[in-house]
Amino acid sequence: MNARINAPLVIAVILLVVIVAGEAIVFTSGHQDYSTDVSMRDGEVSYDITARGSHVYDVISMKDSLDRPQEVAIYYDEDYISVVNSVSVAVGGRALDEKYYVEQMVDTLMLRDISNVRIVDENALRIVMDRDGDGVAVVCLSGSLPKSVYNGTADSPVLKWISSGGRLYWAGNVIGQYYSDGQTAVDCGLSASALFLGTACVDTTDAKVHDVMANRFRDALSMQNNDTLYSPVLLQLPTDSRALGIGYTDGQRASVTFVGLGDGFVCIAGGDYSNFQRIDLAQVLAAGIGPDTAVVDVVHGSVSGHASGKIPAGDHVYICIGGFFPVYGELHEVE
Amino acid sequence: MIIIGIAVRLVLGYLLTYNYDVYHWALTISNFEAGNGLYDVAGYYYSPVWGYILGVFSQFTGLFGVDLLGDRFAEMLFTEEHTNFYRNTAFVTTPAFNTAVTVMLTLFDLLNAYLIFWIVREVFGDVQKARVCFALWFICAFVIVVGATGGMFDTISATFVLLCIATLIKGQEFIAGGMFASAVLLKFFPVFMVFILVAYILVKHGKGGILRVAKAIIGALAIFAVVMLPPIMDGHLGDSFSFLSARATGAVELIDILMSIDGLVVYTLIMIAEAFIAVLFLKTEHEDIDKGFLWFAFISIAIVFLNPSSPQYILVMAPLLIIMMVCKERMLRIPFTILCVGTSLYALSPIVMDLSSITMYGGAMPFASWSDMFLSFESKFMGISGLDLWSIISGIIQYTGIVAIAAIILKKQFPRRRTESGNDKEISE
Repeated sequence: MNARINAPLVIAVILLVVIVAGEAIVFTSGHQDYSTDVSMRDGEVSYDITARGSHVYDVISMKDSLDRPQEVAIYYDEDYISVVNSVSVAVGGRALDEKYYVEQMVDTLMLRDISNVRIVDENALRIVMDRDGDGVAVVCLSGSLPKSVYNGTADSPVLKWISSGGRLYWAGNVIGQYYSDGQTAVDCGLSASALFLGTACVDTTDAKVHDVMANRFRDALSMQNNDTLYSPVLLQLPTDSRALGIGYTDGQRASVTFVGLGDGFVCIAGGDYSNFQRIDLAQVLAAGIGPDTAVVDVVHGSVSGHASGKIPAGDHVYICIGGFFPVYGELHEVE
Repeated sequence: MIIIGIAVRLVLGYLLTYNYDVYHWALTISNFEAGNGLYDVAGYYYSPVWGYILGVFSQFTGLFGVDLLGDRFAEMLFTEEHTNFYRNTAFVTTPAFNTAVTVMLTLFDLLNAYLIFWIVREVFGDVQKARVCFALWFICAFVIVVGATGGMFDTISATFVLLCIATLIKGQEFIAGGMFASAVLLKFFPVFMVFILVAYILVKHGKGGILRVAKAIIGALAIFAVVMLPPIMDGHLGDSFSFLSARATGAVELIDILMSIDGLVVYTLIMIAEAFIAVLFLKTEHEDIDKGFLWFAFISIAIVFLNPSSPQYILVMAPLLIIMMVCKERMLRIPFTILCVGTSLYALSPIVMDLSSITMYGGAMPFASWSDMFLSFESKFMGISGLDLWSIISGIIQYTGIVAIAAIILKKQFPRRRTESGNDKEISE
């Protein structure tokens, strides 16, 4: 009997098994592999983290932060013109247009435990903004809101909605400069941004910046986008304005800026479309950061299976697993 | 020798890593670990085979406690504004993750070395030459440099090509078809070998060849279905081939169109040449069909690189180059040596960025020194930076090796012999 093993056949079969096993791993891994929990003990917050595999994690205790939004609406309507610039993506990558950005935004929020996300067209957005804004987040990536909610005047429904407690997350051009009348974009000028910011202080100078804001958010949230284009100049905001700049800075602007308006706020992510911008926008939305939020403390650690620890209490704790390669995030209210 | 090969790879993999690619492997892993599969969010631009292999790989990195894949260093952000032949990123993967990638690719290098050994022993019946081929692959400078520092998976594509050849030689067309599909779904270049592979089956098996070709096609389709079904069902078929269809920008400019036309023309010409080689193989009388097949398969894959390529792609051709150099045409030592120099240097051209991992994590040198070195390499003289010059010169050396291979193939395949009348006459084998 010829007992010589057919080595190539054996190797081929093993590699096919590897491919199929990898396929199973890729498509069965996910949100269910992670969980976090917190509880108050002796004035401190105890946290527990479980994770499949080995990961770094960050626990951020914050004060004057926000509850997880009850509803997240991402505005996208093909019938209303967008005012965003074409952008570069990695070699081989699919062009990052608004539709692709919106699709990815849903998934990017999902991994951060924000699952109550819906994509709204002009009509649905108008319905959202006809209601009270408290606890509702709207993400706008089109650079121009539809005329039914914004017409370049102080009477615009979007401004009333924000003032009632709404959270408007904005990326892709100057906030307030354009509104869309279907296939036409109406330019209200740079000064219209004052309707959202209190003063016209948006700088349209392109800037990829290298410095980090000193308030610890960049490291705690592993923020990635170092672009401050379209961000307001922080020192030019009205002195009574509630404002917070986080992430990266050119000394005057921040890569992510929160500016209060009535009971709500606008959050502006700087720069043209990028994956880094998307990740940062999702991160700050999920982490419950607002214009008054401050970091109480941050704990960096490593989890392999299970980890626990304590952190000084604020009003919310956000736990993110994976660092700059995030796999899970969850916001907890500290009871 | 095996120990030396492994040790050199591990040391190089720890010290030097081209972060831009390896960062994307880390990103891919985190994307699917987060439940976003391979294509739900941006980060992975290839067909799924490599992603699936990363799926298995991620289980081992988790098991061995590689918790930190990388960081985005604010102090390195300035590098992203410098563009040259290579892309720079402030994302720096950790030496632990880099080493893990190197270990995985080293295993495939070792597998390739064995498959080369097996093929030479099986076809040429010479164990001594088989051992030499094994050694030449495993300690080949550019194989080591590309795998250990580049972090690219071309060596795995070579594995599937070798498995395709080996199983074809053994008459296992179904598996061979599956291996061919896997190779093509990893890196596109092996697709050009389809003509010679079909021709080999037809020549070797005569009338039964058609049925065996059908078996190979079924094998290829089966693997294609297994691999591609999830992206097809998720509506990501286009994304899984975006490395072919989409390049670099969201806006299509004239230069993009011209380049794509240029590429189309080149690859159409290559396809025609491949068909010609297959016909030549069919018409040639072979003393030994398997030996003839290896020679023509080498010609088939070598032709592809007449279109200048990045250094890592050469790995798909290297096994057959080594086999032919040792077993058939000693002249190939010249281009092999040229490639050892040119391709290795070409793969090392982003060397300053390659040092970023051990600078940022290992403290191998002060960051200020690294930064100064980066800027000095990036500073331009007459519009060309030092790194650009390095890339251009090493790329030219590499291409010289390719041209030398083409010249040797032509000389071997179409030798000129002096006829009785004294005139030169071309003959074929």
